[in-house]
Amino acid sequence: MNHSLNTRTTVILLLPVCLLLVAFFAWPLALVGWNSIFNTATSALTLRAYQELSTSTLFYRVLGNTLQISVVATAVSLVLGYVIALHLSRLDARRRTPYLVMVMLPFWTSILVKSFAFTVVLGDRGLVNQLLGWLTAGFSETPVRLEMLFNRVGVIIGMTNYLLPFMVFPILASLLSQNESLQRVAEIMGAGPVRIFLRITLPLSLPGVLAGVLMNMTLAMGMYITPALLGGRRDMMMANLVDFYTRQTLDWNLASAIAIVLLALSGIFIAALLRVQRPQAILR
Amino acid sequence: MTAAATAAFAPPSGRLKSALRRVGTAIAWCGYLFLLFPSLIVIPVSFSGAQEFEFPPKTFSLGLYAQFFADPSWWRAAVQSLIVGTSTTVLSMLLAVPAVIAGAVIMAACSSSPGSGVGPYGPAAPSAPAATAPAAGGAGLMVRHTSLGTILTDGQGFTVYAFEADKGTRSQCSGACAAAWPPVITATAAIKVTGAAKSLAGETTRPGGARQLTYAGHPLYRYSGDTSPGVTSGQGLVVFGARWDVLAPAGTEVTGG
Repeated sequence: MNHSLNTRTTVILLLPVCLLLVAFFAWPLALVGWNSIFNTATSALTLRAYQELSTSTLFYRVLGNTLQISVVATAVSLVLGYVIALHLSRLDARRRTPYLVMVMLPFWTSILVKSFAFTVVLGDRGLVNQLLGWLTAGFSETPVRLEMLFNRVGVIIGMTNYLLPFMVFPILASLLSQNESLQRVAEIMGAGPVRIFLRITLPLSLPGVLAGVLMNMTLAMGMYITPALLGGRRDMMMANLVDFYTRQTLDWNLASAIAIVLLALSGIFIAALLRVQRPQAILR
Repeated sequence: MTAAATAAFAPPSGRLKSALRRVGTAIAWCGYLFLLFPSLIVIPVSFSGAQEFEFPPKTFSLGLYAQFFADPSWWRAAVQSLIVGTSTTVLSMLLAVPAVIAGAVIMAACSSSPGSGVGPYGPAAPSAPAATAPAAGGAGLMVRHTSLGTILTDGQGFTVYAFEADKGTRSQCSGACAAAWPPVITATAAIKVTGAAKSLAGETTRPGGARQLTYAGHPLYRYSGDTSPGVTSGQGLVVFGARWDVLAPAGTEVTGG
């Protein structure tokens, strides 16, 4: 590649996007940081918001909720997503397309619509409970019902549905980039399918798994709509707490501080995962 | 390998394999259904006669659609979405395309450092075969003193090898062979030779059209097992059908090692 641009052209080409990011991302983020420590009433810097958070049981409970829900939703989506990616990777390119569309389709449906759709499926008189009642009609007097809406189960189901494509695609990419002859060689050498999977396919797909987990966790920790629509009073997550403070109690200090804590948590999480991922990158 | 051949090699594991595959397919289908269901359920609900969200709908009606198209406050919102969506797309394209062009040029300039295949979005799908990875631009040749004596290296100091199967300057190493033994590629005719005979250096056109360096008539390759300059771990290997040797500055194959 010999077409090089001079420095000035490069700067001009990069400038618009940099300006946009500074104006609409870096600057607002800095404002949030500033808001978390600046008290407008007294025009003084204060750590009150962070102090208040550190003693607030509500904050700790929401933090615990957020972590728990995110980890469970990511784990479910990892297991299901890996199987889907494996299935997709074993299809030839032409037959894969319709299946890929099935994974992509939910991407194109608004998360709001999907969350409402889940209230129909999971609700008290929803599809799943109707089916359960019909199946168990012969065995029990009262129809069997599962509480799946406005509680943790609902949030996790809705969230997994949203996160799944973000898990499938990185894993699929790392499965497809594997050299097929490795599996064939192992098979000729007498390794069974389980061993081939555990010793070759799985380790080689770990970069994709990590990328998927990383995306899932960061997305899950910032989820707002799903816990608001499918969760109950006790399934409030960090983003909902921010909303509560900005819109209901109008405590911008506290809301900003929560946002900063959430950002720091995600940052730590990403850094930790990237650290695990690095040796993999060298091995490649 | 065909399914029949697999079965002939290992019948018990073949049965296990197909059983596992069936279970996997079943779980994957549950996953597809789970992904699709909330998106698809919206369609029958939209034909419901009831004013509330119910499934399965008890009555069929186009009333909701009539309502949508009759009431401007509904379809205006849809038009609004279309306008916002289109403007956003155009705007992001205007911002992103120049940035990508600049980024690609910067990446090309820094491409001498490989091994960045794994981004946050996983390995960048089947990356271009390593065959053309080393030394873009005008390639070079140098010499280096090693345990095998003074030998020829590429411009970055990596040992280069000659393949005994090559007929004249026609390379017989492609595909998997070229992945393991990446040909030394040059983009320009300007070959920088230091310490070796410039008159012996030349180039040949590979089957794919790439220009491969030759020395004394031998097409030159690097060995993917050589992790740093000066390593000669490929010396004397007999793989892909013939022997691989390093070259002395005189152009002769060093057969020791």
